[in-house]
Amino acid sequence: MLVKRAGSFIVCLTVAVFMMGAMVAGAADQKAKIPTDPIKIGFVVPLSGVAATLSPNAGINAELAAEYINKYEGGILGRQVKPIIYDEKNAQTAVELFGKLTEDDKVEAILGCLSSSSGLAVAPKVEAQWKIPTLLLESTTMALFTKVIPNAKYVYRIGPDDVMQSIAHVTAVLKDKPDVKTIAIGAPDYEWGHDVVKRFQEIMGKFKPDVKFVYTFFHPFGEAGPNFAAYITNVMQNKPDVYVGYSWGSDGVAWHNQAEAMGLFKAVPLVFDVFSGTAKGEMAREGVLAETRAGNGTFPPYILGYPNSKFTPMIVEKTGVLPTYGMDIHMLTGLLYLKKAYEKAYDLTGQYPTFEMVAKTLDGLSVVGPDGISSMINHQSTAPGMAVGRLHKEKETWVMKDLILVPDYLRIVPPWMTVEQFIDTLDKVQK
Amino acid sequence: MAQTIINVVPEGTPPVGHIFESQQMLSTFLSYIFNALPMVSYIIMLSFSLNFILYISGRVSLTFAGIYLVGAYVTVSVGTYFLGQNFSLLSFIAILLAVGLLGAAISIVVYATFERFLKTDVHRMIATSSLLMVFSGIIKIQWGTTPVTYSAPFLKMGISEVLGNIVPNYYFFMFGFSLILMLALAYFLFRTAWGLRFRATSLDGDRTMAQVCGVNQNIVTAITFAISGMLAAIAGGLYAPIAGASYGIEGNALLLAALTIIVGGVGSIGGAVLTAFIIGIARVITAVEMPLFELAIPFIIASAVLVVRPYGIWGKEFKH
Amino acid sequence: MSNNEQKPLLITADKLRKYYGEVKPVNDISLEIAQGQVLTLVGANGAGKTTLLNLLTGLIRPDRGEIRLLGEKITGVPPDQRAKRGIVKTFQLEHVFDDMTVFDNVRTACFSSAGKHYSLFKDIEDENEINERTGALIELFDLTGVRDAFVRNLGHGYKKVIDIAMCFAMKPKILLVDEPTSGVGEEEKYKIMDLLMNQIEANNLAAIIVEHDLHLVKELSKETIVMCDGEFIARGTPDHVFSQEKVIEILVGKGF
Repeated sequence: MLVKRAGSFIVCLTVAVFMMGAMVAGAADQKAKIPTDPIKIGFVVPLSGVAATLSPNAGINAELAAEYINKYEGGILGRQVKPIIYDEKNAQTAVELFGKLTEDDKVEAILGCLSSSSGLAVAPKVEAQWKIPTLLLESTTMALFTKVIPNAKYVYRIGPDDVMQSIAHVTAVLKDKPDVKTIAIGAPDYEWGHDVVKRFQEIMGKFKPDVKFVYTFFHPFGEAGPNFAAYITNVMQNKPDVYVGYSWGSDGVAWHNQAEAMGLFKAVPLVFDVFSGTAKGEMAREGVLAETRAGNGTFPPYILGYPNSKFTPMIVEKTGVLPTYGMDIHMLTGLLYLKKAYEKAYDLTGQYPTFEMVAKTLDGLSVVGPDGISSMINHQSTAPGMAVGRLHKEKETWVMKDLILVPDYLRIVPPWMTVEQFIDTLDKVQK
Repeated sequence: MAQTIINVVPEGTPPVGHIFESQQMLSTFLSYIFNALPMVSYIIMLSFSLNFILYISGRVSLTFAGIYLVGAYVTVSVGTYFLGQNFSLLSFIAILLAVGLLGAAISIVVYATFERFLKTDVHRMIATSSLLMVFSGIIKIQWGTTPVTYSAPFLKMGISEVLGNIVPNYYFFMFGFSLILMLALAYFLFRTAWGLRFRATSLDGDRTMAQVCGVNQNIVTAITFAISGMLAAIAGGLYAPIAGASYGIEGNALLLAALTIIVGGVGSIGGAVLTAFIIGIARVITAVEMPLFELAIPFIIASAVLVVRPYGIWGKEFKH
Repeated sequence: MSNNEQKPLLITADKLRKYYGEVKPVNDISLEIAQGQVLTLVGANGAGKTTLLNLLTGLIRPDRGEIRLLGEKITGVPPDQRAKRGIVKTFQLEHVFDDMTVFDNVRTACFSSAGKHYSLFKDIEDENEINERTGALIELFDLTGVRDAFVRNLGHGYKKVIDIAMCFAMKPKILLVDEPTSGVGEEEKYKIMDLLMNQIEANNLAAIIVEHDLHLVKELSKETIVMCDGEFIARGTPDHVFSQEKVIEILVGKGF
């Protein structure tokens, strides 16, 4: 009996000794071994449909982002990135694709969702079911982190939200034309259009209450072959100090042509046209204020240096055009965040990071992305691309002069505030 | 195009009483008309493209919308390729005419190889709307879904100021071009020997009697399709500099053309022109005064007309 | 009869057949018509008279059989070509161009028979030759009063006359007349028939006239054919034909 007990004791002891030995050995080796096969990253980006007009080369750009990470950054933890790209057709497909990527393709992180509807549909399931690090690109309104997943763990977003956007716009207009008295504002007639106009007016009211909105209109959205002559005439007849326009896509191109032909850009002292930048500069007009996020193609690739100086030429070489939408460059930013998160988690724990570790590490990281330094604050990137500048044609290329970078404290809703509370504080901040 | 400046009230003249008011009203009313001009000309040509086939050969063919799409894209591509940002009126007109010929050719080929064998209107509707999808598919493959633009003609023609309204000269050009085309078509129909044949075959005439009178149905129908294709392609080409060519414009074209026939009546050139003005101006007025109704107004007009006059304002009941 | 046989054969139909399922409107009919020969064709409704005429003009195609015009086979030739070669038909129901003036109606036919190419550009008002001929026809058929009226607004009798005028404008060799007096008042009936017969005689045309009014048939034609169920059952002078018992049986109650 005793012998038996002694025997089991010895066995236990031996096991313990071996375990300790292994631990000591591990400590000597520092860290766990990293697999050498490629790390699979899922991309759910629009390849067809309406959203694909915003970023027609999203698929190619996803591949290029992976190629960039592999070529210039040495992969993630030394593992080559293998992108698995699917077409984000609609919210339902996006949900199915996320399931497929996690369960069948066994990817280790997912980037994607340009449309806010897919983002909103996917986020709760990621949090509850799949628990995989997810970086939404562009996607979404404020509702994502305030209402749908208030205690987000796995879902992050790269790209500005509508509040950031509107604050930046108001700030830019006021900076360029401090004595503005009258504004005409127009947007496409759908939910987003009404939202941005409302936000702009609200925030402008906080910053400069005596500004009058002399003409507000919503033109038919996405109508094929639009004719905006009536709106343009009305804008000009109201003689505003500033015209603020939110038309985009084919609407935007037609709007700009028609406004130019009718002389709007000459008649109105300042035009702030959010989406003036497109791949081929169809919407760019001399002297117009524009937002960089809407069309990255409007600022020269060299202006922001590394890594854009390498990444943008790659895109131009492959697709023939500059990145046309924020999403095109956010994919690289996303991979950079992931690289940093994986490597930091590995450094800290010495183990190959689990999804939970990666997700936890992502918050608070800062990376130098193609659009500059951005930080992940409270699951939301600070979207450094958020700048407003004056368009200018230089050697056949459109560039942005007098770039107004809107400071982060002015446009990022702090985690302890609601949007409304934050907007309420703005007038004080401004003073 | 020379810049015309018609300024009745010299600058600095103090506005006086009712003269000023009526001036103001006239000016506003004129602005409605001017701003409606592109839509008016586009509706005239497109609707008559559908109308002409319907009237002459009694067929419902939706192919014209596809040809309209092709016309817009080809004009943009050819214009950008040959002219780029340079612009000359003559070369632009030449491009438009070439695009018109291309449209006519496509239309004839579609008729000869495809539509000719469809026997009932239901077949034709289904088959031609499928064909429409083929057209837009080809456009998607060739040009992608991003809108393309060629705006040099629109921008380079300059603007005129008429009674305080700024109007791009291109509006006048576009309207003039479409009006000339319609007048030519009217001349062709009412003053030439071929026109006699067309009218003899039309819904207003009598197919059987026309045959007995030695009219070859196949040739007449083929030419009808050619004219329809030409009108549609030129409509696309003329409108593209203003609005750009984008994937999906064909659906809009289809709706407006159909609505115009409902209001204007089958086979009436005058009806088409007047309806185009009614719809175009109504859209401009609603855009300014009641933006909510801008897209709905053509349908509201069409429904109202249908209640009062089931065959359209200028339409008549046909014996077939 | 013997007189006609010496004239050249204008049109021959050999064993023409057209079936619509069980219905046999034209059942192996053979027919020869010489120049200047005027036949009347009688028979009950549905006997196949109109079908036979339509086969000759080419508006419908025969299931079997052959049609020759002046010895040349024309079975597959479309109706517009046959019309240009001289086989012209008037219709039982109104078939005129409603939205055109009387003048334009006749002018359309005149253009076709002029045998020259249509110009895409030339103003029709400048086509003097055609316009003169149209004017002459209008006068001939006593339509001068309504020359510029739209056919839509004219009465049934007028439309019949216009129809006939258009047929003559086609310069026919053989005229196929389908019930020229249907739906026309007694007075107009004789007027139209006189006009028609005078012109046929004056131009020495061959003609097949389908007519319901047997009095008219008796008065107007020298030779008549009775048709029943897709076949000719009697042929000869009206007096001779209408005295046959089976003919009376078929046409009984038809005013005989």
